[in-house]
Amino acid sequence: MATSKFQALWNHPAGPKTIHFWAPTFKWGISIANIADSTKPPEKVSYPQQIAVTATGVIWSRYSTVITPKNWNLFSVNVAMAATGIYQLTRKIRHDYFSEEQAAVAKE
Amino acid sequence: MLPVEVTWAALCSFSTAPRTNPRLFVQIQEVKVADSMASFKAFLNSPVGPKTTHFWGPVANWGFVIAGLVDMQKPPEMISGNMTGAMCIYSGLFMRFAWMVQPRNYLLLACHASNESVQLYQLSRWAKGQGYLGGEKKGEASSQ
Repeated sequence: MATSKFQALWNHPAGPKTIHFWAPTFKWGISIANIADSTKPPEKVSYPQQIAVTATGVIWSRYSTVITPKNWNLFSVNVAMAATGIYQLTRKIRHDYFSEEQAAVAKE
Repeated sequence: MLPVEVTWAALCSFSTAPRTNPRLFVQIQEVKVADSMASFKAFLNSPVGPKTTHFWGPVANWGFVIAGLVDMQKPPEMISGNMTGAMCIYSGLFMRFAWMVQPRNYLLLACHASNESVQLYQLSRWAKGQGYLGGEKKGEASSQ
């Protein structure tokens, strides 16, 4: 029984023998890179890049439910991308716009 | 004929080749304009057109290309080796994905081909800055 389930997955149209599997699987690399970069100082975070990551994540979450074959792997990875993108953006925005206010208030 | 098309056709008739029969020339231009309007309308309504997510997904991915182009102006210290390396592999895989997905998505293919180039360039800038490509690491004296 286990073998036939495994075979069903193995032979799936979005399974490991196809690009439909490996492309989204690799896309996790972007989210992982973003998580690895979450310890970097916010000055090094790039606004254009993180906006691109977030926008891509959001739009592609929708896209992955509309293509043939439907690709839940792609869906989940784009949800994660949007999440890490938003996290990086909030870090940078907080650093750029809110911590300076605190420093200015402290000076007064 | 709509006024716009007639005006456009009239403007076109002043542009290029010698006119033997001006009226015929204008008519040809009008037909060309009408054809391009028709194909534009066909694009608007196509299954991979701007009314569908098959269009906007790839458009969102152009954001990476634009971000990469903007970041080319920044110093290499600001480049994330992790992210840029990931992008290079990602765009390579997605060029293949765009080719194989149903419906085939040429816009996505073009996007990832461009992104691949931009990200490889950024990767080379980062690698040079880190001293991997034989360039001097900033702040370190060269031993040679």
